[in-house]
Amino acid sequence: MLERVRSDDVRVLLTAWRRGDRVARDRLFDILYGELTQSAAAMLRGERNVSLSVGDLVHETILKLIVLEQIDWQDRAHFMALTSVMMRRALVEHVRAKGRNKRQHQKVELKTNIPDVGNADLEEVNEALDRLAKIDRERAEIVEMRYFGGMEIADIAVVLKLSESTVKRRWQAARLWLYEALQPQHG
Amino acid sequence: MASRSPEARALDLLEQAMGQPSDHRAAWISRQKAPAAVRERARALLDGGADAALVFATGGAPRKAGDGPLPERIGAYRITGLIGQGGMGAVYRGERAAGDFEHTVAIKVIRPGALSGALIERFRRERQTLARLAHPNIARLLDGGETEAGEPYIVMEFVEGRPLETWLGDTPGRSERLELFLAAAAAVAFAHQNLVVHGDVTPSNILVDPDGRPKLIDFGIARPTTSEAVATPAGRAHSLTPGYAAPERLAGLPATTLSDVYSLGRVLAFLVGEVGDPELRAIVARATAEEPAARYSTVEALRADVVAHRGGFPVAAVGGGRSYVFRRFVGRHRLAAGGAATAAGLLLAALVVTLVANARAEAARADAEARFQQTRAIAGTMLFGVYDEVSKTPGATKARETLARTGLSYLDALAADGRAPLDVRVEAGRGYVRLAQVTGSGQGAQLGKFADSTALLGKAETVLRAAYAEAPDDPGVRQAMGDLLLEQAGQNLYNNNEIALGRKQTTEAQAILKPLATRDAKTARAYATAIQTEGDSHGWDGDNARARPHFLRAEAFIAGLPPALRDDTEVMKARSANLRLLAEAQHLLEDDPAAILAMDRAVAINEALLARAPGSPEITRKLALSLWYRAVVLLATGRTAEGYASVDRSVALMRGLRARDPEDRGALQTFAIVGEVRAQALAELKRFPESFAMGREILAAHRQIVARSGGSAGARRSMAATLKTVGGNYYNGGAFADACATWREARGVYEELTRDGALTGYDRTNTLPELTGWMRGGCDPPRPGLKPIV
Repeated sequence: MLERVRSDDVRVLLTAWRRGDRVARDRLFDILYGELTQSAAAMLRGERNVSLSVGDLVHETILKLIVLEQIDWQDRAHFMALTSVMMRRALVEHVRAKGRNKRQHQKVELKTNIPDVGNADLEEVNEALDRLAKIDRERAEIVEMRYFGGMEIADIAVVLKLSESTVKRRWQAARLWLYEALQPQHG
Repeated sequence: MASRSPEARALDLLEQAMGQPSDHRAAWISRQKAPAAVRERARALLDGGADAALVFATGGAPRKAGDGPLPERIGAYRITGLIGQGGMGAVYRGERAAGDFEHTVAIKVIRPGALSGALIERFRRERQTLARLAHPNIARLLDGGETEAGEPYIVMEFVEGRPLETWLGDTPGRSERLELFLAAAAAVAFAHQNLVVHGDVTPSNILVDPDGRPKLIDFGIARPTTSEAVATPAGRAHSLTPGYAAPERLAGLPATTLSDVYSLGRVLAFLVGEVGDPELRAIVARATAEEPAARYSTVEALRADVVAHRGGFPVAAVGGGRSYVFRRFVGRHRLAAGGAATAAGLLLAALVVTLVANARAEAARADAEARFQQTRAIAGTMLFGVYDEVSKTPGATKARETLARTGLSYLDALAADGRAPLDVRVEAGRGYVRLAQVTGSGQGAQLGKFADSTALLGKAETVLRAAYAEAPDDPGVRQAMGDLLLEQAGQNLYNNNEIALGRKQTTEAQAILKPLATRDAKTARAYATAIQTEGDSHGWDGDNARARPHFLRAEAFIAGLPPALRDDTEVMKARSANLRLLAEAQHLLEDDPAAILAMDRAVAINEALLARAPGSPEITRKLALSLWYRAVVLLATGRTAEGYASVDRSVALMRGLRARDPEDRGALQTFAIVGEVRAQALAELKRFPESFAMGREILAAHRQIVARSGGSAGARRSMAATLKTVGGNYYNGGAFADACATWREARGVYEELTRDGALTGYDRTNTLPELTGWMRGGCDPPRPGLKPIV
């Protein structure tokens, strides 16, 4: 899939995005999304090493691009951001596809110290994140990069041109908002 | 900013608050200039989100999304369905054909990455503990292992049951509810007796099977330790079902038998309704007292009160006032008492007195039993579980010391009870031995207090000798006795210089352990160590010809074990130690090829062990020692370059360990030993300045060891030998004055040892004459002239 992407396109779009052109970002997304969904689906099917984390997956995609000389190393953070968006979409689609043909399971909680908020599933998180984006788009993007893309604070700071401490505070606040949004009383 | 929505402004405020220290945030928000609604919203978000960080972990999304297709098999089981799934993994239904019936099980698989390495290790150990918990009211743990992908799993009895909530929907009668409660509580009490705490007793963890019997599920599986628990701003621990977890658990303390009592109290309330009978209310109130000490001290005591209540007897929770007891009596005999109330007044009074007295005796007995069980549980957990856990962490010496001290007070309480059953007394004896190891016999990571540990072993001997006399054929007693004798022998040989006594203890240990020698890895190891220690008792006395056959015997014993025992980590450790001693004897008896062969084998074993437990201080030390001794033999046979390389790696390993925990005496001692050979190798390579520097470093280490051991003879003897060697290096390097000063100090130490009656045979016949010879030839005044000292 990647081989068919013309590197000129990627470079031009990337430059535009770095200037702040969100349309360019969305175009890049369309170009690269296919690659990531394949990798993500493979990972989730367990065809690949099951211990592969999102971070690994994203980095691998980026490394491929770098090797193909389609992006420069310093664009890494931007691409990670991009792949975070892809990751979000891929995961939500995966969950939806699974939901279509799954039998009704009883949801059980293994004894852990890690609660599932009211057993909210990823679709609910996705919807809550859409609501957050309406209130504050940038905070929703931070969640996307961090929760879906596994990105480091420092990389997010590069993408958003913010200080690391601002990103960190913003992430903490967004997280609290989402947590509250997923409480059962919100349906 | 002004155009932002109130919700966005609340988020802005919340975000700024995140720049404040966590306990000031709420107050900070309240002080800001913003519409009250915005402030309140920000406060609400802040207060409600204690678990947000856990739920939204970095890169956490896929964990929520993914489950694979059903695996075909897990272990020996065919997977037939998914029972459910959660954040940590999935529960499958599995079947296994056994004979002509299908055996159905529930299999829990922990998702990769859901638990840290330490937790997985804990999960494995808990699996072993739980496998022993066979009780009709506990869902039995049947099996466990790891999938091919490395995910740990456990196989549980499949319970065809309904949660307690659903069962209550059938509106069972009051006595049925109490009956069910008593059965569930009995299961928890049983677990406590086996040193297992449930930690999360809730209605949803009690299933009721079609016959109406309760089954406890989710026994402490993958329940993180407190160190893993995340303290939250609100101080609330996670995953504890609200309303059922004891207050101290919510404050982040670990689960105890008393927190289970609390949870059972809540379950009782759930079963009988909060506004039940005043007596039940009193029972619930006592079980769920805020202060753990105010609760029933055991689940058994709680059960006893519920039984008393059911049978119409006075319950302890109400406090035994006279009129209360009387009411209970009348209630129970309502029909009989009704007509004859006045005539029987005297008789009644007598009965009441008897009842009160019985209740008191019963309460006292229950209390003693309760205290006892508690003590046993705490001592067991502390010395065998927690201590091992803490020991794995380099740098935890202080924590170990605290644990040891606390453990002792519990053990004394146990041993003081002469009426305690045999197994309990044996347990106390083992506890003392364990504590002695902890405070400093043996060669593990210890605190270096020889005197304390000798006294502790004495206490253990008192308890265990009596037990052995009483039940000489009991394997548990034998094993405990063997372990004690080995520990004593080790201490007498290595620390107290009581060689003859130590040797006697090793032969007795062998005789006691022999019938059990191939029973399991533990006994095999103990038996091999007993043989080896007998050999070492000769080696320590300088008689290698006598020592060698024992080392060969131990090696032959281990090499001949079935692979399952032979490749056990603990057995491998023992084998490595014995090979080292065998090599030493071979070397001193001038069979160097055999010695090098033995050491190559020992190094290989330790490399394999370190690969099993990377970074382990204990194995690192063992590897360093085997490299060191291989270097000794190589150097002696003139293979200087190879020898130096071997010992240089050894010193580097030990430097690393010392840096990680400066207070670990074992690391210090080993560093001194291996460093000495490196100093010699450097001298041999004519790299004298480096050699002298190494010499100064190891002497400083020895002085520290002597001071910390309270001047024990063994420590002083080691220092004297090192002084002698370091002096030799000075002499060979031409630093004659330094050489003589160092030798003089060595001679001083040997003289002191002689005065204390602690000079060994080897030192008397070999070491000391050689030292005084050198001093005659090369000192007073310091001068050249001696042949190079090796």
